[in-house]
Amino acid sequence: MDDHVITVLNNIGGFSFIALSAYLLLLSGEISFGQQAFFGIGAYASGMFTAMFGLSFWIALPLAMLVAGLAAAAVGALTLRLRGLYFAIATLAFAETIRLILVATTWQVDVDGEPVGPNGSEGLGNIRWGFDNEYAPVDFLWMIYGSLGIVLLLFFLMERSRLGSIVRTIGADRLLAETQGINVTRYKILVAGLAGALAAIGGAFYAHIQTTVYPENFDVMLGVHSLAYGLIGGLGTAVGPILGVLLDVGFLEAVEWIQGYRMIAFGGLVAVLLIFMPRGILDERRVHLLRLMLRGRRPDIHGAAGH
Amino acid sequence: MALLDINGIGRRFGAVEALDGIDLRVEEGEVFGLIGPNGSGKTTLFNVLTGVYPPSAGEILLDGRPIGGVPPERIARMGLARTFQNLRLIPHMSAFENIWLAQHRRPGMGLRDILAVGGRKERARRDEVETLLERTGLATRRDAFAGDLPLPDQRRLEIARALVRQPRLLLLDEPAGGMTPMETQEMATLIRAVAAPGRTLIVIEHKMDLISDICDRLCVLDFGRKIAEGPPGRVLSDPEVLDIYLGREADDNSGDDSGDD
Repeated sequence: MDDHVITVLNNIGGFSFIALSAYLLLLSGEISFGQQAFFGIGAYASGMFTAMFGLSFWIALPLAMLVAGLAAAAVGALTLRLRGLYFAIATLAFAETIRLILVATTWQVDVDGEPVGPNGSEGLGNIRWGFDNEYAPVDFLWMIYGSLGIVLLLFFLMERSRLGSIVRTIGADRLLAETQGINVTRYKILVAGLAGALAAIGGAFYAHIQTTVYPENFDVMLGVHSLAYGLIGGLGTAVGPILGVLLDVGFLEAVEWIQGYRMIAFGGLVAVLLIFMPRGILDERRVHLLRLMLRGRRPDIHGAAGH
Repeated sequence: MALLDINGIGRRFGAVEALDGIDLRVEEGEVFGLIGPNGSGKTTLFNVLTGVYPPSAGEILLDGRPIGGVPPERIARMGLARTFQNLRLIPHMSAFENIWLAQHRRPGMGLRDILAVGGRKERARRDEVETLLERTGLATRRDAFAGDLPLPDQRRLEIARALVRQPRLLLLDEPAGGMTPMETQEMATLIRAVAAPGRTLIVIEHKMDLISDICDRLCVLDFGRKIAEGPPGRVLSDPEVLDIYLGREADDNSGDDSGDD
């Protein structure tokens, strides 16, 4: 495979994690403009663990997920009373706070005679774990898609279990969820935490492929994109947000004649899709029909049979 | 001891006394009717009973345990289930899923049951949902989206979803609202079947023939106060009730579904 293809595929994989993160929150009825914060925390934490403290990536990754997950659960707990627009603004404010803290933070240690660590707006460099262990971009490709496969499998299991329907019920009608015995507070914090950990996976891979990350990588545009991926790809299945990433990164970024107009094309795509498919391409109805067809059941979803 | 014991319940919204010193006792196995003009506080009483609003005064005992001001999810787990006058189904889920999701957190269900994707217990629970679809006449609509169902089927689905929680006390908020006389009769048959195994029901309805058909006792609310209580025959011939409730009801010709709270 040529390097450009591998880079594009790695980007698609990496962004899929933050897209799934925003998607999980969308299922629970929350619009977050702040998932880039946990992507950034994942990138910085994992990069610091490997570059400053010499940990293996495979230990740094779960640790970074834990750090981001706990931070996200804490933010989730603090913003529990906020709904809709107010929740969205709070997540955005938090993400900007994290970015500015990274700009203001300098903490370097000496590794093999070189200062390594977060250096304000100069970013966190020397994340050499991949280089030191002779990992080529194609090796990261397998790592990313292996992890993405596991995450998708967990999403499918969640959707088959009651956990999926609990999250969707909370997203559709909070009062109904409460009258069905669901402890909404507890699930909201759980979902926020899981979404934070998910975004951190993408950030960790991003940091170790780029080898240097800057606070400006985690600005609001990343959050807006990750939110848009689920909305255009569809809220009916976890494949939806990944389809959204494919459309944006795979199609718009890879097709050369769109370059320079990419944001215009993306904005137009989002606007048109949201008008004609308000819950995305793979929305609940299309996914339901597909599932019925796969099980060989007649898709009588309009209830036309009568009793 | 009564299954539900309501003592002096009040609920105030700003200057409006939506419920004002309501006393009620509902015995185990009873079908209890709740009637009154729009705005008389019927749905507010349901909302207070289910924990949607805490009462501003008084005490509610469910099976001897106080539930006034307890959060809705805890009251739901104590065996109280309800349907909604303005229907709260999840439109983009199938009829099956809408019932299935309500099995969550029934007594004895733990984390393992929430994460289960198969297994003997989960299969048994799914069979139970299928049985309920049969019993409520929704078997042919199993895979239809709740939002696509005609209104009578949506009301049946709400009842099925409440029943799957195996409630000790079931609250039905206008189960025949917006239905034709024929559909109302079918609903009466369903409610009688639901009540048959000695289940306790409180039913809000505007349709007097349905109420007198299914209820053992009923109570009339007006401006948040209880104005009459007793067997349907006696209450519905009470001159004060006829004057306050039925007289006024005749003026606006019933059928007003514009909400009760």
